[in-house]
Amino acid sequence: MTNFNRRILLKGLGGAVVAAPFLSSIWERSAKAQAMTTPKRTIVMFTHYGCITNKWFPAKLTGELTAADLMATNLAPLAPFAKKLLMPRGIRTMNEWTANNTGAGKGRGQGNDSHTQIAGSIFTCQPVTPNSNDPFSFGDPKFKAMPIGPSLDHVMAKQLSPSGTPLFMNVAGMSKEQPQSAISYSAGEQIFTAVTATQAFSGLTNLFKQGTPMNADTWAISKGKAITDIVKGDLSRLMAKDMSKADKDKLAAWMELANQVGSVVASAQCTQELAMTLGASNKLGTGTGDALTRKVNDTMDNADLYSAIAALTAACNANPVIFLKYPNNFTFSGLGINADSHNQSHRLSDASMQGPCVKDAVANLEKIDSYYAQKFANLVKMLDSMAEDSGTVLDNTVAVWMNEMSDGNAHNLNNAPIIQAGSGGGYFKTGQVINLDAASGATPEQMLGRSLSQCVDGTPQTSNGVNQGTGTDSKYGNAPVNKYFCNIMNAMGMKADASGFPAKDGPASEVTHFGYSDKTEDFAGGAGAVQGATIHNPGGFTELKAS
Amino acid sequence: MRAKFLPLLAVSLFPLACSSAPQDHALPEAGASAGSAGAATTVGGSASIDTLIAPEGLTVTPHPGGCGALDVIALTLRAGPTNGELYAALKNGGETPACSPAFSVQLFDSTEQMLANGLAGLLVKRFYRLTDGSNTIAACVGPGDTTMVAITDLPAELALTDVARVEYWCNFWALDVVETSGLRLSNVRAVAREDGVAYTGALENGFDVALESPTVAVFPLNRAGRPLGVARGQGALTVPPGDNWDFETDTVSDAGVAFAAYPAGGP
Repeated sequence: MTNFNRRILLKGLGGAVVAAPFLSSIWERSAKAQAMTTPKRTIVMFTHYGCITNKWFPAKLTGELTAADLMATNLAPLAPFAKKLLMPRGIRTMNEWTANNTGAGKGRGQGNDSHTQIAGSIFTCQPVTPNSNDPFSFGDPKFKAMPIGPSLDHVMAKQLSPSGTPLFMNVAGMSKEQPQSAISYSAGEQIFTAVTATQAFSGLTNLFKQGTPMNADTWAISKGKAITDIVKGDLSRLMAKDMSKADKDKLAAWMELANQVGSVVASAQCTQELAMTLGASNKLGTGTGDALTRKVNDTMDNADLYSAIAALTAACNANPVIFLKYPNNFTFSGLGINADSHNQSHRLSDASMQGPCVKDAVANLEKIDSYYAQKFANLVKMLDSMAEDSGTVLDNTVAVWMNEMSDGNAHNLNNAPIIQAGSGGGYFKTGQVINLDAASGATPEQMLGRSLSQCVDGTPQTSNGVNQGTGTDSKYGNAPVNKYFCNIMNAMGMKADASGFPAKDGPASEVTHFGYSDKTEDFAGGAGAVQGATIHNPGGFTELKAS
Repeated sequence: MRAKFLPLLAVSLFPLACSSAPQDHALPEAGASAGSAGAATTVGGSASIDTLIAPEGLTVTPHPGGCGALDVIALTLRAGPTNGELYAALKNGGETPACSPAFSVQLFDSTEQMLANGLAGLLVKRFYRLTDGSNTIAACVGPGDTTMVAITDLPAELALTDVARVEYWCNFWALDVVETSGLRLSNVRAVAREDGVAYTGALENGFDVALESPTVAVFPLNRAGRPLGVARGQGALTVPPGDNWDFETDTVSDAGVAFAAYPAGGP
């Protein structure tokens, strides 16, 4: 339970708290909480198959991020929000497939399937099991391997969400995915089922009330959870103390009173009107086109509807951990691309990963990149349109767009295309491009990558998905994503155990460790194969912090 | 495209399905391979069913790009004991090996609402070495080969009568490779067991490295070459280079009229 939750919760309890003056821990935390700011949320938008890096990244590698920088890229739709964006550069995600991943000490990761192990590891930073040391083997284990631990959304939700689970939505409406594309794992080898737009919206409608701001705890109470359960940790510690019978009676009386007066007052912003303004109350489009680009109305498509529900969820403080996943193997017919997105990422007409370039593939990939950028911009716009305290909901949010890989043909995970909006309540810098792997010595030009080195339209060529020729040189952009995830968790105020791994009951107040290892080579051979696999460089990136 | 797919498949691919799969393995006559009398099986029970797609009326269409040179020649969607199951046979009609292949499906109802999705690795009989000097082994569906796949984890709650269309696609690698020795199956035969028909045989490890926990998959076929199910065998042992593993699979209730056997995992 976070401090801000207690502030509003205890404020709502009023007399009940006054009636329990001996509950010093609650009083202290309440007083501390009064100084805290508004709720924070994390919203992640995830897309598959990388990007045309040369047109995705701005030319500069570090410094102020301006609208002009973005206008020259496929991120142009985000230009109006430049001052509220942060682009962490030089990050490597886990765990990369290469043709020579043949076991411990060889290659840059496991030798399973290039997509299966990336999807499984990207948000877990855990290796997948069963392991394969043969990158070109066959059979089910290669394609059905799953990570051995939970993904970031679940690790965060366990501490931050009243339900203990994230709001996880597949924007194409698919509920349960296969390991080759699944990213949300509630535990090791447990794929989490996504909810539909209808289910997610239905879950919000009973929160539409007028009154003081609602938070995760009051939401939980509205769902029938007892206040004494919300402050269970405090009460457990208190009850463990040696008390007189009189004090025990007082405590019991307080607990009863607290539960009786715990009626919910919902957010002034969490209303049907807001839902309508955002467009979250619309129905999914069912006309022509594909499941993403079908029009809901003149201003939004189906993908935007999911974003609107995410924004509404944030405004209602219904769930502070929201993941929006875009589909794999998708045909963007609404964009005029009648080809599979995975095949296009390899610049081919089928998924043979190597062969003659197909016409317009690079142009189509840029079109898809621009579409995703527009969808992220629309989400950012919604979040920034809602006032909260002296700023907007966006200001108290970490909204991140992450991609499965850097270049889709190379499957490379260094130089990850990541862009963030919002500072998480002042934790992160904004309006900046920050190079987190300056030590590699890469020039800005080298960090644009090599997506245009094969299959540029008009040039008859062969696409090669094995040699990673379209990826950024593996020497560059290797700052581990684990550290960025630590930043996000710390921005949300999460606690850690004594070792620095996320832990609901602390005792540490800063997360410094996440995942199996922060070195991609440690994943080679699978769990336990590389001796000394660990978090080598604990803590978040100080370069990203506002202060 | 969709409307034409089934009749086209039935007319043009039936001879391929009939001839190619049986050439690869010993094919017992219907009912003759079950061994001892009294076996509680339905060997030959599907013999009269020559359809390439089951259930009849199911539409099978490729996702854009489909499986490249791999053509779906037969497909079965059925309810298994615990889950929905899908079996398919594909033929490599191209001139290059399709390596490390996977097969994905999405199942739709008549309103095009997606009901389920599935994924499994395609099984292969040939092995190759990359010519890039790395000596890396690749498992591939060779030109002209038939491959099969078993997806046995479709949702248990899936109502097969609701499935109107199956859409499929593949991932694989087109690599520069030369053929090499690998895993080879021999003396595969169907044997009757109390609860059905099992398959026995030998798996030879032709690799120069040991094979841990060897596995095989045997698909009973109808007369058209359509896989009706799968029997699996797994050994908790290590097969040294050049050695054999004598296997026996679990059982199937419908052994069809023939079968196709594959190694189901590499070293």
